Formats: sequence, C-alpha cells, structure tokens
Amino acid sequence: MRKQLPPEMLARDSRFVRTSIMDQVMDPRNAKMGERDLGSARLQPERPAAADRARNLMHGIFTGEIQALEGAGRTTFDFDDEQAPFALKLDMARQCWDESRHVEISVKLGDWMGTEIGEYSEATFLYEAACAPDPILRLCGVNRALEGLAIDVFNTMKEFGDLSGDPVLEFCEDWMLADEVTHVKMGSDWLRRLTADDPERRERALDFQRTVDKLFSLGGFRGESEDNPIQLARAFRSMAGFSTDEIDELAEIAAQAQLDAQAMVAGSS
Amino acid sequence: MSNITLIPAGFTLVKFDADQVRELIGQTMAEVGFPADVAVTIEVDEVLPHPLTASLVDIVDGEAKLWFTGGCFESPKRQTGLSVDHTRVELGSAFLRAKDRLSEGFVNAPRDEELDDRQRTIWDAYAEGRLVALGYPVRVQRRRYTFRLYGGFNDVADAAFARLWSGDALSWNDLSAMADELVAADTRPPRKKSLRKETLRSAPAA
Repeated sequence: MRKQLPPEMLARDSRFVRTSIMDQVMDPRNAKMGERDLGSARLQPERPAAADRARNLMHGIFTGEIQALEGAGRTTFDFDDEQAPFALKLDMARQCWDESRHVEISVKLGDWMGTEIGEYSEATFLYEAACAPDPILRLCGVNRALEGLAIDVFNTMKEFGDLSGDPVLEFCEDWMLADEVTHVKMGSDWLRRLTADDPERRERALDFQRTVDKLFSLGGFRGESEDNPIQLARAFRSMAGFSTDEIDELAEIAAQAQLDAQAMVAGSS
Repeated sequence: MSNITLIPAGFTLVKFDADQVRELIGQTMAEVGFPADVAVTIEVDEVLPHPLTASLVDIVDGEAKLWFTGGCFESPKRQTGLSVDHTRVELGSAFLRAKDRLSEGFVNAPRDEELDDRQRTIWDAYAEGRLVALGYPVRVQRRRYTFRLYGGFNDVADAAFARLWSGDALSWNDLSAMADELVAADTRPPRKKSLRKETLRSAPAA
C-alpha cells in the first residue's frame, strides 16, 4: 500500500464534489459582501437563514470527520516505529475509532436536519494538513490546530442546538465535543514527549500549527466577536491542554486573519 | 401571458443564465396555476450566496413582487452555479404564496417583512406541501427541520406540520391560529427580540 497518500487520491463516490480554497477566495461576490451590513455572523437560530447555515456547517463537519479519520489512519501507517512510537500509533488508531463514530453521527444528524450526503461541496484542506512528512507536524497541524477548531465548531453547534431547543443536535455535538478534547490532548502530550530533547523540532511543529490555525481562521471564520460564525471555545480548549497564553495567541491569529480579509476586500473594491 | 420583469436582466457575479431563469419562472407559474394576467417582478440579489437563503413575496398594487437571495437558486455543490431543482422549488413556493395573497382568504395577511419566523415557516410548509403534490423535488425532512427550528421540537409542532403538508384551501386565519397553537405548546424560553427585525435584504436595486 502506498505511503503518503495525496489528497487527490482520497476515495469518494459520485455524490461528492470537491472545491478548492481558491474557488472560495476568488469568488467575485466576496468584495460586494464586504460592503454590506449583514449583521452578526454568529450562528444563532434567530439570524436569517439559520437553518441553511446550520445544515451547511453540519455537512462541513461531516466531511471534516471523514478527512480526520483518513488523516489519523494514515499516521498509523505512514511511519515506522522509530519515526512514530507504537503507543502514538495506538492513540491514532483509537482516534480512528472515534472519527468513524463521528462520521456515522454526522450522517444521522444530516438526516435529522434534511441534508443529503454530498449535498455541499467538499474542501480537502483538513486532510492536506495531515500530509506533513513529520508525524509531530501532523499532530500539531491536525490534533492541536484542526481538532482544536473542531472544539470551537462543536461548541458553536451545541449552543445552536441548545438555543433552538433541538435535543438531538445538542446531545450529539456534546458527545463529539468530549472526544475532540481528548484528541487535542493527545496532540499536546505527544508534542511534549517527542520533542522533549529537540526544541527546534518543537518550534517547527508549533510554527506549522500557527500556519494551519491562521488558514482556518480565514476571513474571520473563527474568532471571538459577533463577526465570527465560529466562536473560540476557551473553556474547552483549556481542558484540552492549551495554556491561556496559547489561547490568547490563537485569538490574535484569528483577529489578524479577519483584518487581512477586510483589507483584501477593501483593496479589491 | 404575464408581464415578467427579472432584475437583474443578466447576471454578472454568478453563473446563472438569465434566459434559463426566465424559462423556469414561466414554467413554474404555469405549473402552480399563477394567474397569467398578473404582472410579476422578480429581483435576485446575486451578491448573497448559499447558504444565505431568504425570499420575500408581496402583492403591491395588484402586481406580484418577489425577492430572492442568489443563494436560493445557487447549487451548494458548484459555487456560483445554478441549481435547477432549488430554483424550481423556491419559485414554486413563492408563486403559491403570491397566489394565496391574491385570494380572499389571505387579504388580512401581513406583508412578508412583518411576518415573524413562526408564521413564515408555517406558510412555507403549507406551500411546499402543495408543491409535493405537483411533483416538485421537495425534501420533506429539510422543511420539517426548519419548521421545528421555528415552531418547536415537540409533538404539537410535528402534528401541525403533518396537517400543513397535506393541507389544501387553508386561509391566513388558519395559519395564524396554528401559529398561536405552536406558541402555546413551545416550552423553550422566549428569545431576545431585537428592535428591528434582521433581514438579508438591503436597499432595493435601482
């Protein structure tokens, strides 16, 4: 079996259509949207189009879970025991079990909300972060950055379920959220263990994490203001092993990403 | 043949073919039995993408005025591309509601922008239920979830939805009474009410 599987080789059936980040960045409507006062972007039931926004996000979670499964699965296979200790691979195998369950839960939530598999296009940049050649970079990019984002997303969806009185959505998101906290913690623990004697490698991995964090805060997607659809979940991140300084740094990265996006809109209009 | 005006006459930000949209408008009007002698203006705000879906339907001086976000017609699979199925369902639902507004039973219905979310979701379910009977590609679970979101996640709301889905010849008073029934059965804490209802619609196009 091939090691280091590129994103274009991921197996999908005909229901799935792939999109690229460039399609989203180059959409001519972005600049015009930036000129509009569309109110708060927070996902809340009383906001316009709340049902379709929630469905869209839920499908993004679903494809994200598939890619998280694929990423963790590759990490169990792509490295020998010197590059990645057996115990790390065991953790990744356990994560695969969790991600498989999340995929199934997400499919059922899609049914509940009236969304079909493949109804929305799929971007593969989550899996792309899982293609790093160093397992520690993967753990930082996927477990700490992306599973950290999953904490923020699940917490946002859980709050949406709570506010809308949807018990199914609220409970499912809460259960998945609990798993994500353990996935982030795995990343933090292995980062410390494997780089205890190699500060340069640790710094490289943390740099990669910052890059991924910035990418996923793109255009103000995640942050702490009313302009951000996904809210930074400080309490859950703290449970997952992030220090207050690290959460503050992430909040700054998110705020900067939003300012960059606003500047881009201003520059193009 | 109706006098139909599509605004904009051609799309520049999305890959919608205006002629195809006009064809779908004419086809849908005929299929839902919208009166051919009523002038129709359809405005599509192509700036607003999927999933920002919203629409407004009103009768002003005997003319039907329909407004949609571009997201209503857009394919969620192909950014800026048209989804014929979504467009048919959105147009069909809007024309049925416009037809309702032209009828005696709906003369006392508030303007669309004055409807609250619960009233609007009731009317939408009533419209889409009738579209099913006409063979439109309506997805019941999608509508049911939206209905629960605004009507309540409880048995009373589900029973009301079932009545609407198979309903026919209902009036605004029927829909309004159902809204009151849903309010009474809703155990969720009341949401904060903003002074001005939030809307995706900006100033009308020139």
